[in-house]
Amino acid sequence: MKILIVEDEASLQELMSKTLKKEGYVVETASDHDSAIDKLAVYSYDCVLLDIMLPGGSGFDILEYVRRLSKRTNVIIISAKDSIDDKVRGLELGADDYLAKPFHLAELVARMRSVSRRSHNDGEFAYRLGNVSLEPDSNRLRVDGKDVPLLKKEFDILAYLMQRPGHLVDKTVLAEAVWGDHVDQADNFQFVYAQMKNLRRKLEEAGADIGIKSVYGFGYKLTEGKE
Amino acid sequence: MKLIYKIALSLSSIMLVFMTLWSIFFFRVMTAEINDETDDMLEEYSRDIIIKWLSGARLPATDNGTNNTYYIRKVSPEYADSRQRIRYEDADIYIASEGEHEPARIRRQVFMDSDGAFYELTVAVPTFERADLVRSILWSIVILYIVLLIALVSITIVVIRFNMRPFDALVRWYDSYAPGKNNAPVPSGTDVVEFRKLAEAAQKAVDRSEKLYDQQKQFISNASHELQTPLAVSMGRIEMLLDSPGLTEEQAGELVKIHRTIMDLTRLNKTLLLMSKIENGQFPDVEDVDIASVFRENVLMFKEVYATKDLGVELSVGEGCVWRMNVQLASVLVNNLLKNAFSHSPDKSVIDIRIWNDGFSVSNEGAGPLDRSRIFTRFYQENSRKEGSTGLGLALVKAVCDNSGLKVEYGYDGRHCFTVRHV
Repeated sequence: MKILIVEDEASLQELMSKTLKKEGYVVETASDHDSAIDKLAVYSYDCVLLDIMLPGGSGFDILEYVRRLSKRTNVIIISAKDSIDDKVRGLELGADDYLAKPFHLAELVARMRSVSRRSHNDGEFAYRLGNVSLEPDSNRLRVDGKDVPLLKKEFDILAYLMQRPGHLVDKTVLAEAVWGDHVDQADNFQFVYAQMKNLRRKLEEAGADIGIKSVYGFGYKLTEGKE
Repeated sequence: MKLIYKIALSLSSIMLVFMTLWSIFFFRVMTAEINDETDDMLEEYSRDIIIKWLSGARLPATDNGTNNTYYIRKVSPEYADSRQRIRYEDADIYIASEGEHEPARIRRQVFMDSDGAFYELTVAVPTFERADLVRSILWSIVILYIVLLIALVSITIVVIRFNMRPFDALVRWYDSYAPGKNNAPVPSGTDVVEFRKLAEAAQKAVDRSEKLYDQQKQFISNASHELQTPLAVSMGRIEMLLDSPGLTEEQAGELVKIHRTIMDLTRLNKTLLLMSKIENGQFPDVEDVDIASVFRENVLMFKEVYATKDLGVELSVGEGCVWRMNVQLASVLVNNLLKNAFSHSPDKSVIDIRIWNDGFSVSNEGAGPLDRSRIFTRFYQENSRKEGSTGLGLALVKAVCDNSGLKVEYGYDGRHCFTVRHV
C-alpha cells in the first residue's frame, strides 16, 4: 500500500514515515502545497495523510484536488487545529478521517488500517487475530466463529487493543481512549484492572488463542498465542 | 460623594462664613448709625429744654406721647466739676406712661443758669424702637442669606450639570466598560478642550488595554497551537522507542513515565486551547439542553472511574432544568464540576446534586472552606498539586458560565457547594 505524507514539520514527517514503513507501507513525503500537488499529479496513492496548514497553500485545496483526481484515494486529515469547523469542512470535502495533533502513533496506524479496510470491503470489516474476529460496526466478537457476549467497556478495550496487536499500550492511554478525557485525575486505574480481569476470563472461556499480557505493571500488550 | 454635592456643600460653607462676617459688619454699621441718630435727637431735645428752662418759657410736657422723658435736678458745683458736661449711657429707666422699666438711651447734661447754680438735665428715649429696628435688620439679613444661598446653589448645580454633560457621559461609559467585550466607543463630540483631552486619554487607555488583552489571548492560543506539533513529535518518538526490542523493564518504565508527563502536558495544552476558544466565543451554536440528562450520562462514568472511593451520589431533580446553550459547553461545565467533586471527596462520602427549574448545585464533603476569591482562577489549587490535574477545571467552569449567561458561585456550610444559576 502506497502512502503520501503531506506535512511541513520535518521531525513529525520523519517520525510518521518511519512508523508507517515499519508497518510495511510504502511511504513518500511532501513538505509543502506545491510539491504535494506535483506528486499527486504524477503518481497514485492509496492513502494521503494531509496537514491543513502548509507553506504555499491550504490542505483543503489539496483535498479537493485529490477528490477531483480519484474517488479511491483515502485521505486522513492531520491538523493542529482541533476545531469542529475544520473537521466538518474536511469531512464534507471528502476526507475519510480526521486526526488532531498531538496523536499517538499507534492511533495513526490504527486509523490508517480502519480507513483502508473500510474502503476495501465497504463497511463490514473486522479486526482479525488468531481465531478471534471483532466487528466494531456491529459490536460483535467471534471466537472460532461463535459469538461471545461482551459488555460495552470490555468490547471497547478489546477493540482498542486489537487495532494495535503486539504494541505496548499504556493503561492511562487505554483508560483515556475507552472512558474519555475525564479519567485524567483518577489516582489509580482499578477500574481498568476490573474490566481487564473479566475480559481475560471471557476470552479464555471462549477458547481464544490470543492473550492480553500485562507489561511491567504500566501497560498491556495483545499477543497471539496463549500466555 | 458626588462631585455636584461636594461643590454645593463647599459653596454653601464658604457662603456661610462670608455672609456671617458681612452680616456682623452690616449690623454693626447699622446700629452705630441708629445710635448716632438717637444721640442727635437727644441733643436737639436737650438743647430745646435747656433754652426753654433758661429763658423761663413753658417746658414741654413729659407725657407727650413720644415716650421721651426728661427731668432736671439741681446739683452741687463739686458734682458738676467732677463729671463731664455731657454723658451718654444705656440704662433702664422708669417710664411713667407705661408704668414699667424699659431699656433706654440716656443723655445727661450739666448746665449753669444765670445765678450760677448747676443743674443736670437727663433726657431718655426708650430703645425698644431701636431693638425692633435691629431685629428687622437681622431678619432681612437671614432671609437674604437663605435666598441667596438657594439661588446660588441651584444656579451652580444647573450650570455644572449642563456643562458637565460630556463628563457624565464619559463616567457612564467607563462604568459600562469591560475589557474584551463589545464596547461602545468613547463618547466625544464636545468642544470643551479639557473634556476632549479626557476622552482622548480614555480612548488611548482603552485601546492599549484592548490591545494587550487581545495580545494575551492571542499569545495563549498561538503558544498552544505551536506546542501541538513538538508534543506530537516527542510523544511519537517515545512510542517508537517503547516498541523497540531489547528494552529492559526499567528503561520501559522510565519511558512510560516520560510519556505520561507529555500526555499531561498535552492535556494542559488542550485545556488552555479550549479555554481560549470559549473566551473567544467560538462555540456559537446553541440548542435546548436538558441539564439533568447531561448529569445522568456522566455520573455513571465517574462512578465507575472512581469506584475504589466508594462514593454515593444523590441526584435530585425537581423541575427539569432546560437551558439554551452549546451542548459541548454544557458537557464541559457538568463534567468539570463532577470531576472536581469526585476527585476531592473523601472515601465513602456522598456527592449531592440538586437540579431545579433554573439552576443546579453540586456539593461534596470537605474539611474547610476554600478561598472564594481565588478558587476560579487558573492554576489555583488549595493544597499540593495533584499529579495529572491541570488546575484549570474550575477556571473552565467559570469561562463556560461567563460565556453562556450563567453565574457560578461557591459556598461552604460543612460541604463544598457549587451553584450555577441563570443570570
